[in-house]
Amino acid sequence: MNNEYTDAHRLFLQASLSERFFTEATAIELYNKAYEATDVQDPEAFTGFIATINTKLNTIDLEFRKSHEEETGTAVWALVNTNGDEIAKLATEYTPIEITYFRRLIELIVTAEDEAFSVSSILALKEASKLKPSISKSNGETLLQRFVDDKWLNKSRGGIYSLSQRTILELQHFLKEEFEDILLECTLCFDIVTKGQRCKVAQCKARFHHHCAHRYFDSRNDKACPTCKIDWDSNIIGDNGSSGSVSRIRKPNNRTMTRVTRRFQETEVGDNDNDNDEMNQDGDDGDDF
Amino acid sequence: MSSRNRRNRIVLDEDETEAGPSRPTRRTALGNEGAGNVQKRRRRDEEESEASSNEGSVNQHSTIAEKAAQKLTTEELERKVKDVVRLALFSEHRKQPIKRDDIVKKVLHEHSRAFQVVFDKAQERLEDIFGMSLAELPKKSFSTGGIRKPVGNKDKTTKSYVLKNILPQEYRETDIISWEKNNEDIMGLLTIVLSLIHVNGRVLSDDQMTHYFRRLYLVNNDKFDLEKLLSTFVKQGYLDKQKTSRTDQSQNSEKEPLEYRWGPRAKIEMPESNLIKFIRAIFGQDAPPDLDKQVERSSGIDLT
Repeated sequence: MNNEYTDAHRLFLQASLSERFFTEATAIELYNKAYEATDVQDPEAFTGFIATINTKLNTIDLEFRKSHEEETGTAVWALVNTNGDEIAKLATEYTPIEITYFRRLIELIVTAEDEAFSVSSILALKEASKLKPSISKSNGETLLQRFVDDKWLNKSRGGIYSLSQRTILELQHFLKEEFEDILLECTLCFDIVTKGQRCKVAQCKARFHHHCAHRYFDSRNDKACPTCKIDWDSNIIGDNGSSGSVSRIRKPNNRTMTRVTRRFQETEVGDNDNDNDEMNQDGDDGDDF
Repeated sequence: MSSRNRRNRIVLDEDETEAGPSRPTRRTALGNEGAGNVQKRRRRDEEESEASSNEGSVNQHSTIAEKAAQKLTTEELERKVKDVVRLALFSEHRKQPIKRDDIVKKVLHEHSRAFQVVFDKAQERLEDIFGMSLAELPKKSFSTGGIRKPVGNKDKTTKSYVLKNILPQEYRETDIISWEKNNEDIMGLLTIVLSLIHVNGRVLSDDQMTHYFRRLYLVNNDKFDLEKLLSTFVKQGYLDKQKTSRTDQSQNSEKEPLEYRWGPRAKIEMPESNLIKFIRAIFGQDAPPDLDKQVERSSGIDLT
């Protein structure tokens, strides 16, 4: 077994520095190209290759981590900072107030009721106006789009924001520390789950990613929950409205779904208003969106 | 999850112990040319530190740094080296040069005298892990009439650094390292701007630039906000902009006459040989046989 650190490793690392988050297919393509270009003999297998790079990266608190896209199950890799120090804050192109806003959004998403793990754009923009200094609606919209473009947030067709796989991977440490009691782990793969299925039985703790559930149930005849052993029937975790994966699985009429989502989100706005007088005042604005 | 963390921890510890000043694996791991590059770079570094410490001999200089570094425990030193590496990477991500002052303020604090020792170790680490090194930005070449100063010049003391790829040239020519997709056309435009400056005697007036843009159908183009892009390039150090120094101006605009030159980052990141390749690729089959000569003549820089 050869685990020498070569120029192929360096080239791979350089290539991934600009993207930082990519599918495993892309990673393997880069890996092949890195060996082709450098003509290094006796190449390591992909897994070993990444492990060798990680050994080096760990000395500077960085690491390649693998995960699966929650909606599709696609294997993805991210170059993750394992140390949330002051110096790392420079890594983002966001201003402090923008980072504060992002944190608030994460909080809203993670603490959303009924394991929805999402926030409507109405609520998200309302949050922006509450910041000090506040972010205007149009600036808030631009900023939200930037979070989506930079792959920190996902946005469904119905305008609902949820955590991206990049956020789940890169901010894992922060998320687990801040929201230890709220975050859910997939019963099958033990990764964080914010989009997936839960057992219909209220007391049952079983939670699955869609792809994990498929893999599990496709391979057996009895459709019983692996935790409570009662016949499997699922509720949705995450944005239970019009997000891509859900509509693909359930095939509902898209327009109806959006309307349902919107109604659902509006009730949510109402609920939250109860504990915040400031928000009650502009509570009606929501209809304008 | 916890088992993975533990594994990393162990790996980290192992690596820390072997991260001494000499790394024998490094030399063998590099291709011949790569090793040569590193050697060359090292030598140049030594010359630079010699040049920047006029007040004392090199020996004294390094002893001061070493003495200061001895006040740090091995763990502290390792941490500072790590922080400099991280600072360099994260600054590069934002296309910001890393300044000596930043290193002192954010990493070294009261141990500023240990700068050279920490910096050298950080360089080794960057070379080893990424095949990159921190290159000091050259001083702005104001009114030098387009003649580029040789690298390693004595007044090269900007104390600002950017990361530079030091892997062998032929590795870099593969399409593996791609700019971020949304940046591709912007970097393409930058390359065109740099080429135009280069073949115009390494200086281009504001008006000439606009003229070229018009001919490239880039003016009033929805895709680019040229004004903003140019100022971004200046901010990132790809371009230098200054009031014109030449007297033969025949400008008829009421704007202050300005001219553009290659900025320090461009000089570090863009070797002239690559530029010729780019120009040749644009000409395609129509490239004149003596293209290299022509470019040399118009830029005033000898390629060979």
